[in-house]
Amino acid sequence: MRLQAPRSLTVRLALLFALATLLTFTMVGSYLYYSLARQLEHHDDQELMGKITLMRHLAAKARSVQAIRDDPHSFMDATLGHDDLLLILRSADGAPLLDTRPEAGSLPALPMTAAGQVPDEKSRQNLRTSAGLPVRATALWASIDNSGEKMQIIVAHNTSDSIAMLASYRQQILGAALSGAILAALLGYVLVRRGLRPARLIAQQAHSITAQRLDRGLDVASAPYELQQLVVAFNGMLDRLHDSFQRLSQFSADLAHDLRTPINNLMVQTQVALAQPRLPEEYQGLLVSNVEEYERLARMLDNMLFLARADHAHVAVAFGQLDCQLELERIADYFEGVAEDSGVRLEIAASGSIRADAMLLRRAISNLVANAIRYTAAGQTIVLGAAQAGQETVISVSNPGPQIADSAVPRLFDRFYRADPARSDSASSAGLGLAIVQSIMKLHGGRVELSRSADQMTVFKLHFPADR
Amino acid sequence: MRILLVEDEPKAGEYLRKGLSESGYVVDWVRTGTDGLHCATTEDYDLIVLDVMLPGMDGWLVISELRKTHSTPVLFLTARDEVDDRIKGLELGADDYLVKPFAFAELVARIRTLLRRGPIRESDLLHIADMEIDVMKRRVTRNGERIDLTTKEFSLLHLMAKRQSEVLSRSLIASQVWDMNFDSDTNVVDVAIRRLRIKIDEPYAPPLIHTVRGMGYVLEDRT
Repeated sequence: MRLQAPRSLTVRLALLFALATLLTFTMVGSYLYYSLARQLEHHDDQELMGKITLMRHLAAKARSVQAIRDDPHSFMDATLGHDDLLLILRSADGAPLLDTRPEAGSLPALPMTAAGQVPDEKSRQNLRTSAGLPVRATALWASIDNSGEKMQIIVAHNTSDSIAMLASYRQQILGAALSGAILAALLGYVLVRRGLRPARLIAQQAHSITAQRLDRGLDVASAPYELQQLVVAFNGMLDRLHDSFQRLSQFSADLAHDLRTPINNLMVQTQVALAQPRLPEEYQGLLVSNVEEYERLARMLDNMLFLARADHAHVAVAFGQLDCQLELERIADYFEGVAEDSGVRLEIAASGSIRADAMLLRRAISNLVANAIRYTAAGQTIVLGAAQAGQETVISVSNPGPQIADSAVPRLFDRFYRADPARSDSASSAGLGLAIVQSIMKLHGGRVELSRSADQMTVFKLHFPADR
Repeated sequence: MRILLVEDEPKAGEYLRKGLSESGYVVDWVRTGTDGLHCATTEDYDLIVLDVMLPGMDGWLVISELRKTHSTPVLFLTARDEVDDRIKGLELGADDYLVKPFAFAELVARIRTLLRRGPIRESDLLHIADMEIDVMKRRVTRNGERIDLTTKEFSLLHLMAKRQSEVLSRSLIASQVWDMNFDSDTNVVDVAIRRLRIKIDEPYAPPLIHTVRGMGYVLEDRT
């Protein structure tokens, strides 16, 4: 089974605190334990060295090995009061002379330090006697000055007390580390919970946000510094949602208006006509008027379907290399009559070629040109241009005319949006033209942009990215 | 000319039968795909107008069964206009495709085109009443007088003359003359027709270009 990290941030942090505490305590404890062990050993060694010096001195002053065997009292006296000290004396050939604690058992062989030399670190060893007593022992040769004989001195120090003490110390350290870790975990849990309270407050604020109150947002000032970025980003997301939501509501309101008006016209005028017998010409007039409304509805539906499909990129885009000049001439040709009727001139200033879908491109440009003609006064000139700008090809439609209000610009490409709120011209335009232009540009990976030049021209620019 | 109409929607079937009968065709109307296939295989029709969405056996199935034995021209009617659907219909052997809602004039125009069978030889010289159109020289005279037309005006007149007596819808005209294959809110076609009329109709009698209200325009000698 795979161990999963706990889901709760609080539990996770508390456990990490505990782990950190346990590690720290263990390391400090180990350090203290080893330094205590070293101190105890040093203390033992001091005592051992003192005894050895004394024993060597006593041996040197003795008369002979035989004299020591007969009367070891001076040696025994030296160990008196030191219950944990073991002293074994042997002659040069290993025959025992004295053993102060025979019940402790025998000691294993030890390296012997030569007479006249001070026993070094290595000669002292931690051993166990045959009876199981832990000792620190050292062995050395001593010479008797009077007879010139040599003898072995073995001194051992019972260390069972130190060992027991260290063992209990170890237990204590372990206990302290564990309880410290548990305490740290508990404290960590409480503190982290307290520390994360601002996050819970933010969550509470977020709970109170609904579709109707998207504009409320979260309070940035009350958020902790670390969470401010998050809160700002979240508020940004809310703003965008709010904006989309409003556009959607506006869209359904516009849609209702634009669909209900023609259907209402159809219903009412037909009902009025049917209310009493009429002349055939009147019926014909009604039917023609109805056909016009139907065509308008069909066109609107067509445009809306186009937009819906373009949104999901369901429109097949047939890319081809098109000559800008030729395409603009074709559009100018198409609008020639309409433009002349309104007394408007169409001028072309184009160069270069473009990779685009011919039908979609014509649809986009003709929407812009139809708009331009509608808003240009007689006697004025509309300029259709195309130029290379860096990596892009830009097609532009510029017309002199009433400036579009700043407040209208951001919504200009929305569906059904008309700068004129009275919608006086809703019969001639459904307000989908610019939305379609925008969709077509998205399908081409480009964008449409409105700018107003210094010389009072309204300029729509279609930016097509370079060949991919 | 006998036409088999397969359409399950009662209103649509009724007006299509009526409209096509009035246009001079003998129309048999059936309401299901099964009946449609049965009639199409047992009797002799010049053309089949087939709805795609039918109960039981849909239009796709009818045509794939029919194409195993017959090559009667088939015109599909459907409310679905996605490119994939069009390709599917044409691949299965449909001869043409019309998306609902369509203009009735366009349906009749398409049916006529399908019934013409094979390429017709386009005449270089067209005559309507006292108007003569020389296609090669792009020259138009009426009552012996030369009329100057722009290139587009000539294309428009040529289209209407080629298909005289046929009601041409605005979208068909925009598509054939300017290669603008989408419906637009603009009245470009009406303006172009009006300007053409000023040149070829107003100074002379009888008028040749007629408006069919709610449908489109037709060029014919009505005297």
